[in-house]
Amino acid sequence: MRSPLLPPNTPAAVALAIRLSLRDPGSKDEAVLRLLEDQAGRREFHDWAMTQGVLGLALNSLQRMGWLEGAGPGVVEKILAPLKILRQQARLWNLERDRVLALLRRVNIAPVVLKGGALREVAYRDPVERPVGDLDLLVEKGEMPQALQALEEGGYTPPDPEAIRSFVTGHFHLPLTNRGGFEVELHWGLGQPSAPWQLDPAGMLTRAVSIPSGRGEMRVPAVEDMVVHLCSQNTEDDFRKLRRLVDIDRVTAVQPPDWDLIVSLSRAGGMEIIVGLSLQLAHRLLGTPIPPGTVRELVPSRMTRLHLSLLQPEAGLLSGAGQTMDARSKALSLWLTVQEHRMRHLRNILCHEEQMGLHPSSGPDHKWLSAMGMAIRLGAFHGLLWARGLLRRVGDSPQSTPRLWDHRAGTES
Amino acid sequence: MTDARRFRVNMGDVAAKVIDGEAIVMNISNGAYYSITGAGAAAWELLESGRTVTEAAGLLAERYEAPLEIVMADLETLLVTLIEEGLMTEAADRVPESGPGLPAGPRVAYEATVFQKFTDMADMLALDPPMPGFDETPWATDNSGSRTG
Repeated sequence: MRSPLLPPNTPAAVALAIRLSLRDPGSKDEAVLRLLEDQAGRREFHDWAMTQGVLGLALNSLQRMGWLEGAGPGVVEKILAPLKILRQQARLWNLERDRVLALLRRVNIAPVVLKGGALREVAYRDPVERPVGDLDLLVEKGEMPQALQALEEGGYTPPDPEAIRSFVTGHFHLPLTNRGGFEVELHWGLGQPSAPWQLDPAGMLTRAVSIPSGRGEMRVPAVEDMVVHLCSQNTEDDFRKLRRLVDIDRVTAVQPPDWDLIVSLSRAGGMEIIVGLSLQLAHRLLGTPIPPGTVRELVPSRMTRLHLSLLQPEAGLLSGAGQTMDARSKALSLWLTVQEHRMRHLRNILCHEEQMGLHPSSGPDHKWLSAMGMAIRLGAFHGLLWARGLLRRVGDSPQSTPRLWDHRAGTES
Repeated sequence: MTDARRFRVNMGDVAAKVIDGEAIVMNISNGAYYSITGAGAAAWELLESGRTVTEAAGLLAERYEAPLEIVMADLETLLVTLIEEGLMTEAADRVPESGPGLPAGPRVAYEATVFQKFTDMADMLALDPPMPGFDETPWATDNSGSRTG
């Protein structure tokens, strides 16, 4: 079951191993096994899967599917070696998560646990399959001072007061760290206030559900909120993290969501394109069942579809390339913005460097020059995109590459 | 001679859980974490639940095929370490928690306690924790606790 969409490289091998484990656990891909038997291939597999946050899942999947049976002596141990560290890491994070929740419970705050801290309980079979880099907790804005105090008493250090003030006015969460190396992000919002898309934290808090955790309970977002929030996370890393798509796949597999609610939450937040693209990519790369009706509801204009196709988010995910180009990142965020907000977002993009204080001594002339520079870079990048798209169109038969935005592609879950 | 001391986990700074026969304990105040395996993991659970040293040793001797004296000696050694590391403190006022002691069933072979301390928690918690080269995986084969601080 090798997908024609997956080129034969390491990222594709990782994606394929995960896809098969989720959808067709009885199958086996010899090319993946050969890659893992080779020392350099194994290292590349581990490195890429680690960067993408799917190493634990990939290794667990290989083991569960029995792909490693028949590998040479000592090879299986080498392939699975990172699991030992990842398992220890997962246990420490779970311990700390439960300790932090207990600290907050003592002051009658029941935060909603976002992202990895919740997903490893809700959507994955084994915590090792979902790494956590920090603990994201959503509280009501009015609870922030009390929550901060409780965490400080529990060994966490908040930023200095001046930094707190700038976080509160221009950001949506506060980072706190402790001596052990744990980081908690205390959220009162779900995205940059200046972003052209917004999620409703009050709605998420209201719809949150409780699940058992450790010796108590923890609140997690309703599955629909979780899906939309996970889709929004794709914008933070320019659709280059396979983990985000795997998260969406796992959440929707464990608890079938109300797809109509997902559509309405997406519309309310100006996130139709982001959610639509995320669901399409999860479907194409991992086989996530998405109802065709949902994709149809979220389909953007022909012009937007064309540009998103030219930006090749799928290839970006599977190329194994490192940092994304700044111009590509800006172009992607522009085309992910719904039409009515796009011009405003373009203005923000053009003034971005100035807003971020990258040129503190700049005067009005410099501001104008900086915006012009960005406009030229964006324009040149689009020129390059169109030229590449034209070349592809001439070189390929139309049937050779499935369309990125195909609303018939979804399957009823 | 009985040892009626009871202990309590240093709750302000310490979090712990026994999973798959291993007690994972972390001390937030110094950024270290610990792994206790063998009979020590069961001992941790018993002490955490408020049993006296003598009660814990008795239950361990019932569970494992080992003389009470050996179990007691190992338990005392473990306790010294737990106190030195600030993980448990003596609590004369402690009321024992109700609940099962150790799993019922036939006695099992005694596994001496292995206590390991790791001081690299911040590295471990990173999204890309240090992974030794795949042909040199000392932590995969070395049980001597060479990563301890």
